[in-house]
Amino acid sequence: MTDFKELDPLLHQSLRLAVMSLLASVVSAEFVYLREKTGSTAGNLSVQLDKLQTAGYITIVKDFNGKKPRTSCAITPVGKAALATYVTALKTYIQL
Amino acid sequence: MPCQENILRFYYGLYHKLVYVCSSYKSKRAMEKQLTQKESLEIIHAMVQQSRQRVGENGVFYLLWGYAALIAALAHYLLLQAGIQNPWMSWVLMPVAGVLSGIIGYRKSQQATVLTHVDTAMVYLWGAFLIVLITVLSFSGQIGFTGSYPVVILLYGLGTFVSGGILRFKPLIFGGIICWICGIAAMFSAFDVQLLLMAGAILCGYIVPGHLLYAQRND
Repeated sequence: MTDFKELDPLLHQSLRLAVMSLLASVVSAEFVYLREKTGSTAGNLSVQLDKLQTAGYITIVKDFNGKKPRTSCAITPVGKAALATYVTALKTYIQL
Repeated sequence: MPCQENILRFYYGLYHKLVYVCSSYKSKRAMEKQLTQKESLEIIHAMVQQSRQRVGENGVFYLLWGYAALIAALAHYLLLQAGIQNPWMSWVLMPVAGVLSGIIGYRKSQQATVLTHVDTAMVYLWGAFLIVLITVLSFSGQIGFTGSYPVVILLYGLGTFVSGGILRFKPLIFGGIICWICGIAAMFSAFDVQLLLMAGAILCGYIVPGHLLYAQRND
């Protein structure tokens, strides 16, 4: 019998999973980039980013690019490990 | 009748409230809807595809450095043939190209909303390239110009070959190999021929792939 692993509820949500997948492929990305690529609203994205940061999956740095405020996000080693575990768990459900 | 009107208004308001509550409940349910495993994989796949970089943006740097180096090498050759003193002065074009590409690079980094692993790898590669290039040229007195130019051509090849691998762009990889062939040929050639070989290496390793890369920038 296949051993079904529980899926991380924090990652098992479309926008948070999209953000984590994007951040796993780059060094860092700005809020604008994440919003554009995920096609989400600023409000929803902001809420989900906060949740990921609280869990220690991502880091958020707020600074200024000239006079413009800038929010940069990057995945943490904890986040990378969580995403890897999530993908491994997915594989137990779907035969790849 | 005013009384009937009030009752009607009340029911009308109640109906709208019900519609609103139902629709917000529906949308909340939709947002909370559990992802299926297949959907999860599709999201991961789509986002990884989204983050793939447009490599054409890098073309401008190859063209800038390529044309500056080509003009400098050919000018060096012509000044040498004409018997003019200090023909190597043509290479002052390179610091100018360096400053220009620095400005373009800075502007691009300011406008960029994402920093990819490809960007980081390119910075390290060309940083290392520049350090070795400056070192070889600074100590060329020790090994002689005839000895240092083939090394510089081989170095050009290294830069294009590795960057071609990073960007997954074959013309740069082939260009790098041609640079190495020119570099080896230069080891057995006189100094003036070395300059022509260098110009050929730059043409094949930087200018042709640079144009091909630049043409892809809007794809």
